[in-house]
Amino acid sequence: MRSIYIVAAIAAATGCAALTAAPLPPAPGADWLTDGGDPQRTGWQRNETILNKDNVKGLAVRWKTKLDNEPREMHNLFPPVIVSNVPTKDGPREIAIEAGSADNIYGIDTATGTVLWKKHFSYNSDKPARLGGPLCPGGLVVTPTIDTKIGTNGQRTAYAVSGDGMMHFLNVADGEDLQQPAEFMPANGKAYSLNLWNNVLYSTTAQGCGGNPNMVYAFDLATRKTMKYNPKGGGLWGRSGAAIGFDGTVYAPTGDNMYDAAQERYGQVILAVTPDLKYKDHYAPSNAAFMWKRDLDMQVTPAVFNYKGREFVVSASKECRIWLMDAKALGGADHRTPVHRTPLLCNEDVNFAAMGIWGSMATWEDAQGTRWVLASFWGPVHSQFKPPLSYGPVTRGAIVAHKVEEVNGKVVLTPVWISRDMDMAEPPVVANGVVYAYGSGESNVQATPELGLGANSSAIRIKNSTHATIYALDGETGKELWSSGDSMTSFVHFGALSIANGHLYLGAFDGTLYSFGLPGK
Amino acid sequence: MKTIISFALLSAGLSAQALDWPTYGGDPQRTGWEKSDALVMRGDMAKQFQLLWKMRQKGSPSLMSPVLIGRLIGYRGFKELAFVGGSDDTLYVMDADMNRLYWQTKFVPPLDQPKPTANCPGGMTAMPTLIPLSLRRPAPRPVAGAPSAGATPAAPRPNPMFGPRAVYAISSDGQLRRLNAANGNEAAMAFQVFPSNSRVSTLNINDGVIYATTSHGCGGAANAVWALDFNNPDTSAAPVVMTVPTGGGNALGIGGPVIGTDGTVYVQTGDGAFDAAHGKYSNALLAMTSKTLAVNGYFVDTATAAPKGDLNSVTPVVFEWNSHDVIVSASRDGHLNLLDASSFGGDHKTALAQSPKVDGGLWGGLSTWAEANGTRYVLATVWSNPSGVSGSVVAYKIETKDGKPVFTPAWTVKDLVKPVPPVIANGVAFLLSSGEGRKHAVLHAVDALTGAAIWSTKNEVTAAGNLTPLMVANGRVYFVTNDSTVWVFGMPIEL
Repeated sequence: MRSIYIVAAIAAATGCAALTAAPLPPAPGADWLTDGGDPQRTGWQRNETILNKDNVKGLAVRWKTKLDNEPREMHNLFPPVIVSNVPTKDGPREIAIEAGSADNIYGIDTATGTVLWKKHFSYNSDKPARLGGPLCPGGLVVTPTIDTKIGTNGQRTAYAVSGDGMMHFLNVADGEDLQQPAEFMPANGKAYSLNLWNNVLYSTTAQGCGGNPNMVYAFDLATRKTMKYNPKGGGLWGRSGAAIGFDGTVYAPTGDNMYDAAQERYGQVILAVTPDLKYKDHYAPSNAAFMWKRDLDMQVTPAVFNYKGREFVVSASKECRIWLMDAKALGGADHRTPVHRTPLLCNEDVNFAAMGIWGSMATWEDAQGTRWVLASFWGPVHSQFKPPLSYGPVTRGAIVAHKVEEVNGKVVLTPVWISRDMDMAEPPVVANGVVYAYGSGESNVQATPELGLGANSSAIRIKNSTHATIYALDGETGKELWSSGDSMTSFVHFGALSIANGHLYLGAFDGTLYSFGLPGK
Repeated sequence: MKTIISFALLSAGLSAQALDWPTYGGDPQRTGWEKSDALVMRGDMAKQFQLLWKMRQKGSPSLMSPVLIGRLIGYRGFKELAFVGGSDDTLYVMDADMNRLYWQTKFVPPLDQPKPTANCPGGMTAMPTLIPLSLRRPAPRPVAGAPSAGATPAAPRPNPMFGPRAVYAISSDGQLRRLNAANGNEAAMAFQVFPSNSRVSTLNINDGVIYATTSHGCGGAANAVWALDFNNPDTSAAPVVMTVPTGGGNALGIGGPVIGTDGTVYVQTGDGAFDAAHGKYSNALLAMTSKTLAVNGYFVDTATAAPKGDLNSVTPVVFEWNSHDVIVSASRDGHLNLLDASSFGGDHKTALAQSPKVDGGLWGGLSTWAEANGTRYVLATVWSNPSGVSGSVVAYKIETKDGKPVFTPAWTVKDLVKPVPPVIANGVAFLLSSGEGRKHAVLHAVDALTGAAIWSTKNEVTAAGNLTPLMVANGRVYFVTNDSTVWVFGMPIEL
């Protein structure tokens, strides 16, 4: 079986996937329809049954498919979203929707890595398409999402946003438009992963790319109307966009800018807005002014979860500490007091780049009902942060796991483990007690002594990047169970792990989408 | 252009408050006025202004006042950095938020170090300087594109807002040091400019040229004005050095050369002969062309009273008055002279206005600021005698009467011990009573309009000041005491 598997992988990689006998997709249940796995951005694949702590050591490359998407700045492939049992003309398929920065969307047969279809969005805006450095690549920058609703004949819909700001409605089976594209946001903006709740799509924008303000956007699928909320703060650049609570509240971090609640200026906060994008609540760290001064943005997509009947929001920032917030009052009465605030985990140098927590959070519950909160960080661990379990010096990045506990009547985050060193650790996903994370291998240095911020050029950072490595860790101890070693040959920028039905996916800068799995499964 | 920069800052989410204090007095005109510091808030000072941190450098017998970069975007993050020269030939760089030593560089001192004297102390004597951010030259953004993994990166050029910055210092071996502010590495090759062990004044910088004076004949250097032009884009090329001897008198004051808004260089000289025809420029305020240092104007001090010690030996100050530069300098007998920079009275000895004679003598340097309505103030430090035991800060308004400017006394703060030139920010004047011996320094904040007391350090400072200037930026005031400690008071920010 293993030899068949290897042949299939080679065939897929060389474009001969059609010659292989693709296995039938597993029963639905462990799909990955959106970045972070769910609207709450937990990163938790609750329904995984194939991979477990015992067999994960057998993970290997199932296939790798080189896509023809041209990179823009440092961006190429975004996290794939995956749905099974999609009826196609060739029968049911599990399909990964893979977005490429050059306004391309690919439908990929996850069994073989074969590109079933490719959709290129033509640019339709009066504003010229442009590249604006690593922060503003232009083009397609939004990770699509797949609707949970199943249409007639099993039809599935994927939503994607093109570089000109148009919303597209695609048939997952063949990439055809199911509706006419609709205006969603201005062209050349920097928007983040789509989220979908109650028939409304959400995204956030940042960096002022294309001259556009930084806002929360929503698109009502029923009315095809766009809604906006402008926090008059910094960019909303949580990598996975907004998280959505169980009541539809939209949570998003705002980056560097002034915090002045009296003037409704919400820089440097975790923002909560209603489903129809009206201001609801916020949490601003008590040291928000210092964070702004030192460029320590609030820029991590929160995760939302329930614990003992209460809804919590957890987030972090480049400063490298985690805030646990009660969804009913994120910062308490004064908006400055979270339920719990950890000490600094990293970034002792108070750096704005290549250190701190970036991207998104993750959270999961183990079989005993223990709630875990996971964060990835870049750079060395803080000298004063010493969780009970650790696995050697951490200089380039790591995953940190906290338990959510009630101590003396207060809910707190208790550190449990820190992983092995990872080269720029990225947000993890969790499935069946196993934490999957990766070091992106990306050069995140944005300033050098010689060039200052002039070093933040795509060319320099690409040259100084290496390759990504994925790790599987025991969710309760952080012990390394498996690594992808050198099997990936390019770094990852603005990617993320997707895990569905026993398979792990990650797209790299060189345009290669990797799928890992257990041979024969 | 200002609008564009502001938009860029907001787009990047950068905080607007990041002021530099790049040189003595805060600017080439030596005004001592931080014009944009909104973080000094008079109403909150009584409750909130406090000691933020202090840092002692035991290895250095004496420290200079800091110069400051409000925001350096460096390889270790966004930093507010204070650069402090030490007489031990060391440049100390301190993280102004975190109370951490960020880096330090010790220059190799010359082998032939003579025994220090009061006039020739040896070691590093020149207060370092930075290029003010507003004067940095623009450069194109890094090239954007869609590079491939194997592409050879194009060499991006530094962005004037966000690129590397240099700090300039003179080591005691007389070399010009141009160091990368981010890490202390040499940004350009060091060049021998001055004789070893020269007494080089506080540096000033304008348009790619560093200005300094040498005095007391230390190290064999003549009393002279120096211009070091390093505009050559080839950083390995030696700067063009221009030296003009004063022909006698020392350059006076603690602030080195002063630069007008048009680039003219002003130097006040001390006792000696004046004979312009033969290049002898003592007892005069000299106006010199930028870069070439050709004397193109002067004002001769005709006062006959002999100065007492260092009194009435003051660095001038320049400001705009009715749309052109005027200078305030001190006469040997303790008056302030307001001078027209374009004519010097025609006869080189008639001032536009003269203040009443101070009781005692003027010391160190002058400061100036203006209200929003344009009312101009000049602040002077007065020592009762060379020992400075009883001193004061005197403020004058420059008003117009009968079509002519006049010095009008505005306020006086007395009972200061060896005060140094004040600094002003957001309507608050900071005065330092340096103390002496067992009398510790006291920093006072007063209303810059009235001199009314707002706040002081009382007994919090534990040593006497070392007669180096004050510095203010971003809501913080810095000074140095004679135990080689940098003290920083200001509005707290939660880290």
